[in-house]
This record gives sequence, C-alpha cells and structure tokens, in this order.
Amino acid sequence: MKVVISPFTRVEGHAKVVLKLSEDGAVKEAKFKVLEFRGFEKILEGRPIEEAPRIASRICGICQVAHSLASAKAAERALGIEPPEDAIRLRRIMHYAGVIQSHLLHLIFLALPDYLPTRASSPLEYLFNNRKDLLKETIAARSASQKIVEIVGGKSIHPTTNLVGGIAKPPSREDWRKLLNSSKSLVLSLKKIFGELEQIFEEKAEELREYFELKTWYLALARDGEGDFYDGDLMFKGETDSFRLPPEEYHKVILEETVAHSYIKYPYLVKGEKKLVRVGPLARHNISSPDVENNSLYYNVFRLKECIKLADEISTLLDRPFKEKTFSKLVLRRGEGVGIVEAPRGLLVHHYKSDENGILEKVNIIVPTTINAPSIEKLLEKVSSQYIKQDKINVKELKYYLGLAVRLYDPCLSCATHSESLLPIIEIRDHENGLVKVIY
Amino acid sequence: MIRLALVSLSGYCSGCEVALADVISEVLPRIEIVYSTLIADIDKLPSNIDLSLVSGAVRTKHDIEVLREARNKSKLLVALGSCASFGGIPGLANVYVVAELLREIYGTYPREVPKLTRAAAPVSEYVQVDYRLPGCPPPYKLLIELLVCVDEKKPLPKPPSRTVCDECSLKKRDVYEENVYRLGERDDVDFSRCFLEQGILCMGIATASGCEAQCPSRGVPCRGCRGPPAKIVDQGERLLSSIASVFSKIDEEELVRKIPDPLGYFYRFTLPSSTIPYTPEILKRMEKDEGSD
Repeated sequence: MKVVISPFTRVEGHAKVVLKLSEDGAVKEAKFKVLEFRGFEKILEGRPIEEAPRIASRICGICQVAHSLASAKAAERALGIEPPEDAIRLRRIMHYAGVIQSHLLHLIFLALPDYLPTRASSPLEYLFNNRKDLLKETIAARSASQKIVEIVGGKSIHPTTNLVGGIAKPPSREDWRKLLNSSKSLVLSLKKIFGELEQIFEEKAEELREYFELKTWYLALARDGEGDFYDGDLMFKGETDSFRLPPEEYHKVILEETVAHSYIKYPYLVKGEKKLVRVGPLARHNISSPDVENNSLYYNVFRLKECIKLADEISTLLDRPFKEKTFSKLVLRRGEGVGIVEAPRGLLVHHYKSDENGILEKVNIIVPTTINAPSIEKLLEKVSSQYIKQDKINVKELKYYLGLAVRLYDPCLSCATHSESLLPIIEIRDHENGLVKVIY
Repeated sequence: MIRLALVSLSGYCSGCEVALADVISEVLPRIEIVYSTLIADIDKLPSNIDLSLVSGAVRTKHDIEVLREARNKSKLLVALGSCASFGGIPGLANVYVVAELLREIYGTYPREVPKLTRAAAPVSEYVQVDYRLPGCPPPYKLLIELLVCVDEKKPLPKPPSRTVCDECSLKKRDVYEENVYRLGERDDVDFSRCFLEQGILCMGIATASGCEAQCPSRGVPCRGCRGPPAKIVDQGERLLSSIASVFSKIDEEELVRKIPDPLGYFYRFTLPSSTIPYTPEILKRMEKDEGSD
C-alpha cells in the first residue's frame, strides 16, 4: 500500500510524498519527491566568474543573499582575492537580515498555520481577520529586514552590489543612519512577537516529542569553536563524537547519490558507513551546545531564536559608518575555490573551477535542503509509522503530521533543484507498488 | 476585491511571490487569494478567477496543464517577472539538450518525476497573456500599480517604451573609453558616471525602464532583467548592435575577445523569447532526442 500527498502546500517549490507499506501494513519506506529541475550548475558553466553571484542568486528568491555570498566567496578563493574588512561587515549585515526575513516568512506564512487552532485554507486571511496584531508586527519586522538588505544590496530580492571582491559601493553616511533606524525597528518588532511565538512553537514541540525525535549527525559552520553564519570550518557533531574539517574538504565526507524518484541528489555523511546528517537551525544549535537536541520540532524554536540573535548582531555591526573602499580589484587566473555560508536552511556550498581567463569550467552547488532530504524521508517514515494502519487511515490527521514533518525543515525546493521545481502529494502504495490512495 | 490566483510554475525561484509578500500590507485589503500552493493551502484552481499572476518559466509537462487551466478560469492572466515573461535565467539552460543535461547531472534520467519540456519557455508560448510585468523581481511600485488598476477596473499601465538609460541619473558626457573591462577589473570606477562610458558593459541601453535605474544608482551596471522596451522583440540583438556601435573604435576581434560570453551578457533574461532561442544544431539534436523527453 502507498500513500501520496500531492501537491504539497506551503513549501517553496513542487514536491510530493510517497509512503510504501509492507504486506502487514507497516510503513516500509517514505519518499520525498522533488518534481522540479532548473540546471543552474550548467547555466553557470562557461560564464565569466565575476558574473556568477548575480546569476547564482536567482537559484532562490528567498535565500538569494546566501547564494550570492557563497558564490562570491567561491570565486574569491578561486582567484585569490581578499575583500576589504568593511565588505565583510556589509555582507554579514545583509546576510543576517536575509536570514531573518526568510525565517519570518517561513514561521508566519508557512509554519504557523500548522500550529493554529484553525485549518483555514488561507492562513493569511485567518491571521488578517483574527490575529491582526501578530501579523502586523511580523510584517513590520520582515519589512525592516528587507529594507536592510535593500540598502546594502541595492535590491532586497536578488541583491546586486555584492561582487566578486566585495561590495561595489558602500552605503553613504545617510544610508548608514537609515540602516540604524531599520535595525532598531527590527529589534523592537521582533521583541513584540517573540514571546508568544516561542510559546506556541515550544508547546507543540514538547507535546509531540516522541514522534519527532530523530537521531542524526549535525553539520554547521563554526569559527573558533563558535557557530558562524558567514565563515569558518565544517563542524560535524553526532551523539557522542564530533570532528572538524576545512571547508575545501567537504567532498571527502559528503557524498551525493542520484535517486530515481527525485530531481535532488541525496548526500550522506560518509564516516565509516553512510550516516544521515542534518543542517539548519537545529544543527547550528547542536554544534555549539553541550547537549544534542534531536527533537525535529525544535527547528522552528531555534529558527525564531536565531532571528533575535541575528538582529542584535546587526545592531553591533552597525556601530560605525563604512569606509569608502569596500572592494578589491578583480584579477583573473586559473583556480579552484569553495565558498560556504550558513543559508537560512543550513549549510550552503558553492564550488567553482575557472580557466586562466576567469571563465567557469566546473560548478558544483550543494544546498541545505538537499543535505536534509534523506533525513526528511527518515522523519516521514518515523512519523507515519505512528499513524498508518492498513485498515484504518485517518487521512486528515496523517496529512497534518506529514506536512508538519516536511515543513520543519523549511525545504526550499527551488534551491534543492537548482540543478529545477518540488510540490508534495501523498501517495499510498502497497507492497506490490499498487496505488491504494492519493491524498491532495 | 480581486480574486487572485498565484500560479507558480516549476522554473520558479519564489522571488516574485516574495515581492508580493513584501508589499502585502499595501495590497492585502484589495486581494482575496483563491489559489496558491506557497502561501495558502489551496491546491485546486477555482473558477471565476479575476487575476492569475503566473511566475516562473514553463519547464515541465505538468506546468503546461496548470497554465492552460488557469487561462481558462481567469479573466486576466499576467506573466509576473522575467521568467514568465521571457523565460528568464533558467532559459540559459536551453543551449543544452535536456536528456544530455540530466545524464550529465544525474548519470541517468530520473524516472519517477514529471517529464521536462524540451526547453524552458515564456508563458506566452502556451497561452494568451494579457499583460507582462517583467523584472527580477518586478519593481514593487509597478506590482502595486498593477493590482490597484485591476481592483479599480482601470486600464492596465502601458508597457514602457523608454529605457533604463533614459531614467538613469548617472552623468553622461558622450565620451567612451576605448577599452572594455570585466566587472571589477577597474578599481577606479566613478560611481557618478555612466558605466558604459567607462568601458563597463551595462545593459540599460536596450532594457525597459520602470526600475528607476536601481542597479546603476547603487554602483552596479544593469544586466537587463526588465527585458526589451515596447516594440522591440529581441533585446539581445538590440544590445549587441548598440554596444558594437558604442565601442566602434575598438578593433572588432579585440572587442569580441573582451566580451567572452555574449549570450550571458545580452540574452541573460530573454533567450527563450528571442529570435534565436536555440541554434539549428541544438534544434536538430532536440528532434532526435524527442523520444526521451
């Protein structure tokens, strides 16, 4: 027997979920199918390396800042260019604001409906009619963070000032003051919504703990032992063990597998044997915490906490205006470079090779949703095992729990299929692959 | 109140939907979302849609079905953003043959997923489009203006016949550098002066106005995301001839050498809607390939 949910709503992109049952009706496997394809690696090949950040940001309209930065960093490593200090400061400000806007978009528009008493088909309208205050403050916080991206990046969606070598033109003194104002209103609005949202997300996390516990390895960037969104080494942490690797060596441990049911490639951590590894807010928490939290529902709790932390860091980074020069000259050469940042959804890798004229010869991109894909399936397996019985399936409840499980990862299917689009459906298939039921 | 459907095709990045989210407080009182799989849980297109905003390029056979259904059920269908309008950046993959592309990336053709179309295409290749609002993403002001016009049943704004250059405030002296530089190769750029005059490729010269020259004003040259101004079909062809005449003093071969990726500079957002979407050689390989897609 097989359960299919399709299309899957409130995720970015097109996907479906397929559950396969064994003869006795137990869940044998869960598949998360990504139904999009875009081919960005091939799109980048043959292009001048300095054009890459502006093209790569188009992989995703939600975490565009992260793609633009990882792209610029990979190109800079390949060419041996070091951007000035203030360029890095500006990139961090833009990056943190980008993470906050993405997190808020997810938490309020995509995730929150799973936590509300209603199952309104348009959560936005429900919030507009019933929780105007919460909606208003969240929109205010998002606007403030988008404003910050716009002032630094030139545009809030697909920013353009981030070049290979730094930031084209630094914000003026007047712009710096505007940044300070936006950063203040961001912190204020976030503080107003934090308490209530934290309680909503935490209560559900504790209520459903046993269904959503999943032991995996965790991976995030760390600098001097501390988690970092822009730079650092790869920090892997498991239940009892941890290790660290320089970013260039990611391919020694992250192996990508091609699977028939998806346009995503499936990566695993290779350490002795294949292991599941997760990235994103939960991983970022775990790598710098003494204990490991395996309850997947904490993804949303930590996502929210990151907003507050990053908003404070933006204020700190804005303590002084910017120097006039935030750009290092482009020097072309043959080279190879890996650029890694923590995107909103987790570790993001861009890996470029260029020829002596600075033309991209080979591009590899690994996005967080891709790294999480095998773990999404594992969690679906675990959650659905609790809910599926061959003779009696509570379809509504099943769809709810599977939806919750997938959305925790805030999967970005546009990104994951950078290599194209993902929309869930739930399909139930029996042990002979016969279609039993399709749930939309 | 507009009964609004957000139709996101598979070649999309969500940036156009995020643009709508960015202006939501201004437009929410005017819209009722009757279809969206991204910001609502409505996965069936209802009848009597006032406005379908279609984003993304057409890339799978499934996209075509959804698009045709949306067309049949909507009074107005608008291509939102550069991908829906022209094919956009995903259209740059059209120089590859799909099966070859998949074989290279995955080693095999993934079997259990929707079949891809032969090439990424603008929405207008499959259905009648009432209006195009290009931009990557479309400028907020124009998006709000469009929704206000539809809500108040006013005629839709005219597509701009002016260019980004026409609305750009950077100083021009009509004196051009006799050299072309790669972006970032000059570290003495005068940000108050026209990029093209300083030998830095800028596509504002054949790109539709409406963005208020946002990129040039922030220190980076235009890359043409708004597509061609009204009445010009092929943005790349127009860019190519304008740039060639601007740098007419540079030796031809030298100029060709200085512009290493004409497709990526001149057709970055519009290849699938250009007069040369694919080379004859690729078309021939596509025909052969028909069976596998």
